[in-house]
Amino acid sequence: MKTILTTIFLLFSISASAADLTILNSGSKTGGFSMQSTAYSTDLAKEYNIKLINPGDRCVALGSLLPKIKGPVLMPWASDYEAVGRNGGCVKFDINTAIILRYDSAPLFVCTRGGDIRKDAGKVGHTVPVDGPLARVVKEISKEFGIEHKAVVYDGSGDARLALINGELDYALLSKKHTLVAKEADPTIKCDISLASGGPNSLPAETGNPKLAFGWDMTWMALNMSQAQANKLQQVMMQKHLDCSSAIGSWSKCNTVYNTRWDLNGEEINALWEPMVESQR
Amino acid sequence: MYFVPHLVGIGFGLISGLIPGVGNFVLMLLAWPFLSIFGIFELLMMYASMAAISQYIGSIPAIVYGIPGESSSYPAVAESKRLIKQKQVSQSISGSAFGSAFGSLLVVGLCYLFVDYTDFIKHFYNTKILVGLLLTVTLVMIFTVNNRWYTNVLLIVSGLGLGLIGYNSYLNINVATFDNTYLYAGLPMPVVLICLFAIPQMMHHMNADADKILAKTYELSKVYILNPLALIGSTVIGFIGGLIPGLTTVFSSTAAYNASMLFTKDPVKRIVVSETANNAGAFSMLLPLLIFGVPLIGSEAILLFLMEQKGFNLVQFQFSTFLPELALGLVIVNVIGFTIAWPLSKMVPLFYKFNLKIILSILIFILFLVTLYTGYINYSMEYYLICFMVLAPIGVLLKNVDTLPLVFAFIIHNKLIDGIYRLYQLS
Repeated sequence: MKTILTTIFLLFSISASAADLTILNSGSKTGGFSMQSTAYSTDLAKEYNIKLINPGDRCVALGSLLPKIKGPVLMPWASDYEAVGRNGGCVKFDINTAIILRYDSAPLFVCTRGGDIRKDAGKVGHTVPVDGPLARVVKEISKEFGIEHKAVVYDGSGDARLALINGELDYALLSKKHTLVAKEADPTIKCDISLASGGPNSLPAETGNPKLAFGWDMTWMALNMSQAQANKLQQVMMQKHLDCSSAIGSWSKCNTVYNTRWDLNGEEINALWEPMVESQR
Repeated sequence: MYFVPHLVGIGFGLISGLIPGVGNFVLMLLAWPFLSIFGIFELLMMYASMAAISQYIGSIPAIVYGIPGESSSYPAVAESKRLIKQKQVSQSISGSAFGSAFGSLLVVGLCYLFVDYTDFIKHFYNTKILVGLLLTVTLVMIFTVNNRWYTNVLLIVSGLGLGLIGYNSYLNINVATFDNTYLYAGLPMPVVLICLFAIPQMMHHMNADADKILAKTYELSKVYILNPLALIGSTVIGFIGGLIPGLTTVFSSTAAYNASMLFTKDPVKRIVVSETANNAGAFSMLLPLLIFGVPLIGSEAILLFLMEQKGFNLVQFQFSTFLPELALGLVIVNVIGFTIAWPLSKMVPLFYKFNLKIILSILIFILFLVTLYTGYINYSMEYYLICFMVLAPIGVLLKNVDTLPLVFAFIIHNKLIDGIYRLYQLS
């Protein structure tokens, strides 16, 4: 009996001594932010008393819930969300008011069923919204190469991927995570051309047209935290990312799906973030 | 073999099937830390068991009390008020249990036989086919649901209108949001379904003459079996419906129900057809996930992530390699589902021993609590409460109307509008 009581007391003590951390997902319930939020909630459970809040809607997350949370918060935010917010959408967020723990860049790739987007006109699938930056990229590709592509919008990358696999589309603009699955599902699909501003097979570098550059920049931010608290959280997150068997390591395919940076200062972050947001407005 | 995952899946299926508003997504999210102990096959078995059992069990509160325990049970709820004899109630339960087992096992068996051709389902993911299906079911509903046709049109337009409220990320427009952050997310689906479907149906039950409901003679020992052609037809419709992203089993049961209205007026047959279809859909909805890595609903997205954490990828884990084990597991689960659901048909007299008005009043109160709970787990309790206060009185006013077209239009509005716009882009 004494042993049981001691064990319960110890467990309670450990639980009580861990710091509270709320992980607030600002993305949809099925997207990458949701999966990463849940992965962090598993990985960080030893170090923190985690409360995962996953409303599946950024308007609700930032508009209604965030102002009510007084304790430390870990929250993701993306450049395209910010662009929509600055264009009159329901919410926007000044990342300078938070401590940036992690900064990701994810360039898009052009996946094809065999055609060459530079030569062969076709239907190009992209994700929402219908009048968003990706629709403009498709227009820019058409203009650059003097061919008439048709932009077709899908509700998510999964739908666009499937439409490419079944032949409804000739091309799809997908992030690296989705290109990997598309190639697994259909080995005839190639995703060699990127819309990264530089590097191998970069369309913007090849043409010298910066308007063809597209990707998503994403941040994971610490809110309601001191610098020391944020530093500690960042250290723990980095450890989990280094461990490929952790939930987050597994989701990110051992940190290969994004270009992740942990050591950027405020100026460097703004130099990346602002042009990306403005290009997506 | 896979005893624990089956057991967990069955337990989750029971909860998901019995409690309105607590679906597979919520359960998966709540159980996330514990599910990580399972391997890939175990996760898959657990999920398949949960999906199948929730379909078996969801039909029982729908048939007996007119409560949609599971979201694909709405056709059963709509028809339940036309069950005027205990024998019919009993037949509906046993017939649904048998039909569900038939639908599931037929789909599993056919997938097993034609495993080399399952890749062909990719051709189904064509915008023309998806929009065509949605429009067909909606149009058929206008002429088959038990209201005047213009009432059905009005209900469909109202459902689409209610669905449009909020921020539409596809078209990048706001509709009637009035700069309110809650309204940006749209009207909460559980509240709309409870207030504008479950409550009107239950109010209708409450007004029914209890003496007429209680028949003196009944026959409860036999399993009601629908004719094979109807079972096969509803299985095919259910299979196709299960492949529709975001709608899956809801579309399966509604489409089969609409089709049955063209052939029969017997509420028992209509219920059995819709319940057969949703179990067929409960398996087919897994196919795009396992063949193309595309989750169709939120709970599948969680499943995929958990499986990926364990090393799942489409190259190494081909559908054909794990189908035999999955098929065997599903046979076991369906036998269990049948043996849970069928005996409940014998308990029908017991269900009706209680005062129906008191039971329904208690259940409406429970639905109110469910609204608060779903609001709580979605961090928007006050918003859910306000929506309930506004919509519930409307639901009471609609107690003599079959509101299935309204809720169906509400559920499909995004897919229909996005699909029509995409057709325009593709043309």
